[in-house]
Amino acid sequence: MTHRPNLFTAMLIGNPNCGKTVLFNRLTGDHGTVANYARVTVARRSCQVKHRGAVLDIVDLPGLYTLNGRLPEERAGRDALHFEHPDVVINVLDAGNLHRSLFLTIQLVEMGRPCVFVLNMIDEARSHGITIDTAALSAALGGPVVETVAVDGIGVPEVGDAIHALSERPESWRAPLIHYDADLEAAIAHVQTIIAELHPGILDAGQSRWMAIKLLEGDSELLERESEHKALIAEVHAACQDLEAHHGEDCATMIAHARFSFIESLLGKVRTLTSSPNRWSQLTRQLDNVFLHRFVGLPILAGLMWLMFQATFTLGAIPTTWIDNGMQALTKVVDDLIPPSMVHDLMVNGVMAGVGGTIVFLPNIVILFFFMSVLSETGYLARAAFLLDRLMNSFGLHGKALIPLIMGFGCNATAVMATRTIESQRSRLIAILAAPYVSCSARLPVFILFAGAFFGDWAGTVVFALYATSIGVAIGSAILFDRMVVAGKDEPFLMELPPYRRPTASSLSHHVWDSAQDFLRKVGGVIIIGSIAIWFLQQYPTAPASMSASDRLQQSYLGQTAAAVTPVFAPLGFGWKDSIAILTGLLSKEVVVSSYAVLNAQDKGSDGLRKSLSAGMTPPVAISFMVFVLLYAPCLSTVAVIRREAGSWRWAGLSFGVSLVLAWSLAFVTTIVGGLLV
Amino acid sequence: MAGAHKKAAISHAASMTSALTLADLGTGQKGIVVGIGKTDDTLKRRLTAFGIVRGTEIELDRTAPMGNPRTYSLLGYQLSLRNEDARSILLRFE
Repeated sequence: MTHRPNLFTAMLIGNPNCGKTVLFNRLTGDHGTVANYARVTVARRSCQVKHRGAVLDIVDLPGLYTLNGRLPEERAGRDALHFEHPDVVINVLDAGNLHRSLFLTIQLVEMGRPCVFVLNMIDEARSHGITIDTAALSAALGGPVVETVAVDGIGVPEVGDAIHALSERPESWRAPLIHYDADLEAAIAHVQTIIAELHPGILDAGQSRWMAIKLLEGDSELLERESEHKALIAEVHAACQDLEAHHGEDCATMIAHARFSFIESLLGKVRTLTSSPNRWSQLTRQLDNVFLHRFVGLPILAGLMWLMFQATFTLGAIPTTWIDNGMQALTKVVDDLIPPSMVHDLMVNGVMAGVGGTIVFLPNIVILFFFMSVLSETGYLARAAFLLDRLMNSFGLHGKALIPLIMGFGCNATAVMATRTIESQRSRLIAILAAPYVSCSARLPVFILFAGAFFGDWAGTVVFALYATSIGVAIGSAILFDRMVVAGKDEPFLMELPPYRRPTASSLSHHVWDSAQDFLRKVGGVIIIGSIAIWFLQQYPTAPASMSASDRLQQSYLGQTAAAVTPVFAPLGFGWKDSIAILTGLLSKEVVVSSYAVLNAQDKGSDGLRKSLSAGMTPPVAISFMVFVLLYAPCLSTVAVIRREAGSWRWAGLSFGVSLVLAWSLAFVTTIVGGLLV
Repeated sequence: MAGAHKKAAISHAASMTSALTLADLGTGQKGIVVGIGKTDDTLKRRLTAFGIVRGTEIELDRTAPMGNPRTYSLLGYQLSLRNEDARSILLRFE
């Protein structure tokens, strides 16, 4: 590899949920997303850091259990290691779960790249009575072993030192040799000879041995790459059949068995247990007795969700008043400061009204993200996937789709991206198409504004019901798409249940800060632009001052647009302001609220906005409006992500079209049924 | 193995028709993996990577509310699997 003499590439690799992302963040000072469930890193990230005069390019690869897998991220990980020749591989292992973690390690050391081994979460392992002889482990694996508690930063500088030292002296790396059964060794040696003849002078003994093992394991891509060497492939097949006939097991199974035997004997030498390994997570067991209980498990899940939305609403109301008062005071200052002019009106009735109407929802969004990160970091989300897999499966959704869908409560675009963890294209497409119906945090301001204006004490419950509706529709759409999309095979559900972990203050605050930043960026961008646009559209063309305010509005560009679209929404009971808000919400759903704020700019403060809303609508229509906003058209960025992830505009268009029809129909039903009940 | 005897009736019924599989374990019951039966290659590789190889001890922890999937303890960690996939894992008792 050609590079600057003191630039070294190090790739982080390990099982999902072993703390790779935390370590990456600690090593680089960057902040990725951290959770306590498998597969947080859906795409790779890299970052350069200075370390004692050298530059380390640290790459975080997606978590994987094996290099032989067929998941897209498993291939991506293997290809990165194989073709990009990192100077050092940083193999992160969950110290409390070494037996399974070492399976990947064995595959890594056989590949021959110099490795640093990181025993992460060593504190958790110790507290469960596990002690590891790192010197002996280092001797057996041929590279440095570092113990870390990455969340607390313990051992992280030592990892940097180890990477640096190994990069500069790669010759100090001594790859251990894993011995296989005698018949298997004979087959490996035979295939290795053929490989060496076919690629003379290119591969050293270690590499040709690695290739021989991979071919015997049936690595389909490697077999394909070597497919022009017909003699080699024929020899590999013959050797495999021969072994299978003798041992009653296929080659891949024999190799895996030998690796696990090696691991077992290695652990016997380096690991001491003071308690039986299956018994060490007493707390996890006790908590699971409750959370995964056959009868109370699901009600608890529903209760936790209800609590989350209730808290989002009620706790959020307190800081909301402060922000509201602050914004009103600020508006007053601007009002007094700028002399009456167009600029004054634009600032006060356009920008300040739009920003003020939206920014008050910051506390609600922060609280929702706080609860979601608590659920994911403690390990409860993985439990929720376990509890609901059977149900989701009957709707054509994979249990693994649950985590992306729950991420959808934060942001649909992220949810669509997170479906990358689903292996089968078909299951993935269904999840992508269902994701936009999950109510993202951008819809929350709309719900809170309307539920607060119309339903008083019941507001929290109304918001919860809307979320339940969103889940129902997501499921319904999955069933629909399941029938529509070409039939295919279901993917197996294999998921590790991590032990419960206490969420750390640093990563919780990082999650919360990230969501706040994201929201504020929207307020500073699309909301300001949307508010200014609405203001201009309602001001122009200029009308004679003698005209009444409502007549002036009607002849404005906004009034004209409204006149064109209002008939579509009239059967739902929506007025022209509602129609306008819906149109502007196509950009991003928070804009719905800021549009209302600009349209009702004469009613100061969020109380005024609420009053003018409740004057213009009946409660059933308000519910209908919320249902419409919940379901109609994913925002622009989600549409773009669907196009990218599903691979064609056809799917993005389908998602857009279906959502409009669904939103209109359900809102219509709500209006009619609501009208009959009231 | 007191637990094994308690569940003997269930596993006996299963062994009458075919070999014992992971899906036949009762809660708290342990078995030793004998191998992975006829199933597609991708699933086989995935199961192997999770440590399901000949000789691994595996115990049924609990069953999800709707009877499926289930969680198992093996090699000191917990894995959840659907029953239809568990059926391809062949077991014997200690």
